[in-house]
Amino acid sequence: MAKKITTAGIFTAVALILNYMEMLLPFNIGIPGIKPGLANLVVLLAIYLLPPAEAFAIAICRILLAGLFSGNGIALAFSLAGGLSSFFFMLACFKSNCFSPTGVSLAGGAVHNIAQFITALLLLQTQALLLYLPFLLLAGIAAGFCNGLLVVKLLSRLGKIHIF
Amino acid sequence: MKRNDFFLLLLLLLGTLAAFLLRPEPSTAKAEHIQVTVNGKMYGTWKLNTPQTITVSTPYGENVIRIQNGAAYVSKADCPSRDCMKLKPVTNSGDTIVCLPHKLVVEGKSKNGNGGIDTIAH
Amino acid sequence: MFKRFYFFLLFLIVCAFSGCSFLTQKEPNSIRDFFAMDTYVKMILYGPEAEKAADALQAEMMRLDRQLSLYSETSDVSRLHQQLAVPSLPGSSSFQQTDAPRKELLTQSHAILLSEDTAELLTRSLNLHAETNGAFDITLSPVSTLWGFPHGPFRVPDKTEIQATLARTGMETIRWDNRTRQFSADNPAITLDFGGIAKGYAAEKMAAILKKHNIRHALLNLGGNVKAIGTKPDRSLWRVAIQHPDAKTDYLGVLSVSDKSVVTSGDYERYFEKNKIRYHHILDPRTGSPARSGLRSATIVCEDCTLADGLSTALFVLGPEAAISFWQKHKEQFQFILFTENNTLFITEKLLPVFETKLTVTVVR
Repeated sequence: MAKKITTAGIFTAVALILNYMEMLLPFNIGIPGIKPGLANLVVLLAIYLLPPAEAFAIAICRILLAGLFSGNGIALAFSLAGGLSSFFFMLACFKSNCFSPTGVSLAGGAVHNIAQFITALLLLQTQALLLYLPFLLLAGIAAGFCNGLLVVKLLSRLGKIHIF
Repeated sequence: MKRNDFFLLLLLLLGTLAAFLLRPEPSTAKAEHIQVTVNGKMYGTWKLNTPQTITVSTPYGENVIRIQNGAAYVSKADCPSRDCMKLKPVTNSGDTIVCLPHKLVVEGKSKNGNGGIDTIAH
Repeated sequence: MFKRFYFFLLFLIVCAFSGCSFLTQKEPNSIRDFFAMDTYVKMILYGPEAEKAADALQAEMMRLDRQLSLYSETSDVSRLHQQLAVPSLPGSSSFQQTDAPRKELLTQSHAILLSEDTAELLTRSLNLHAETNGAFDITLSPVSTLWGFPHGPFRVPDKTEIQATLARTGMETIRWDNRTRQFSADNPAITLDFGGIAKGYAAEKMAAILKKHNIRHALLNLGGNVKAIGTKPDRSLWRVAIQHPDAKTDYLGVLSVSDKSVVTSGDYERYFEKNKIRYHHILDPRTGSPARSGLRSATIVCEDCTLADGLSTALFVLGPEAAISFWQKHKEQFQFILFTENNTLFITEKLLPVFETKLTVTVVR
């Protein structure tokens, strides 16, 4: 049990760091609070290496903690929508066995940003937001793709370390 | 597995293209009311949906603001060049009519922010 | 082995919490409007020193106004005014193009030492005049006055009057030494009116002050001259709408910018109408009459606001063809958006991705 908590803790912490680093990137899409979603990398890894329940715990923890640290209520809303949707979608893709980690990540990235966008639409109520959708999608696809490649690499290495 | 990834990528890129085509025209936020200030101090606010006439009489001079058809403009002024009477009526959030000699500013405001516009170059 | 993990975890959490304070800070800001003599100034500043900076900017506007309305050596001024027959004294403000213009009166025999700001403005004006083949001219205030600008009463002068008044203009007779700041002119009747670049210059001075106060996100609007510093605090771009010359239409479009100046010259800001003809305040130095170049509005986008201010007037006078040729020789220095009387909207290539409009555009490469 202790091992599970520790492992989950490490994953969450790394996700938070990635979150923080993400904020340092000059990412402006016009809608404040929306992020590309690099922390998905960690969640994806968890989906592949750990039982779904634990992976979910990690996903939830990192969303809530990141939201807490950002002090920005709207960013939390976006994070929840994006993080949770992409988690379940990625889990489903993983279970279906149809895609490689790259594909799953791609899907996760896209869903992450689409969910954030829908939340923004509901919260901000302006049609003008549609102007940003294509860029958001591209960013999500790009982030998802990069994450996917990284995860493939990581999986091959981590498999050799007997932590899990 | 790799092939499915490729299809997914293709699908997503097509989706992005569709999103591009669905982009709306840039819109502006219509002003709901005007805020009138004299020398930086609030003079009053009036809704744009009710036709009315407002006379602003200050030590600097007099301007008459007319609200009609959701727009506000200066219909009478005793400033030397009456520039304020020639300016575009205030219809959108952020639109401004200024009477310099009288230090009068009429600005369009709305609850929904300013239609995504931070300032107007003119 | 587990100890190491625990410590590692602790370490990461401590890092996260220390980042906490940075992340929960809301950027303090100052939003201020004020009248600095003859200009309506709007400022939006973000940063810990926003209020202090706003005070400093207001003070700077006042200082510039005093500086540009008088000679630096007041003794020279009084001496000068005693010798000159022309009665008008340096006016109160130079920020409006032709509103009580900052006339600096000159005689042939006396070289006058100008203040730093006046010197800078004169140097820039002379450069602009040369670069634009005379389209930019700061000696036109006698002609403006003839038409009745800035405040009226307005009238349409006849050709002989205009020609006679044009004799009192002309930048070619100016003798200026930038290093010694000594000024004189061969034509004793000329006057200097910096209204065409004073606002842009003021904006640049204000930008320098903002830098000193560490303000990295700000938006200034000096009577329609826009200076954007950095991006918005959330790192999105500042959205600057450009007014449409017609009263019935909203905007020409909206620009998304960071670290740029946006200045527009148009026929709709200061004008009078007689017999259904509009006479606006942007005079063509060659004819002494309102420029009829085919343009209704000229917008310049570049970093330096003084340049943007001067070029917007110059390009308006030049007209679309000459403006485009001019730009092609200075492609890296600025971008433009021109709106013609035929409703054609010219826009330089680089602005295309950051300009949203409902109108059809003609791209200039």
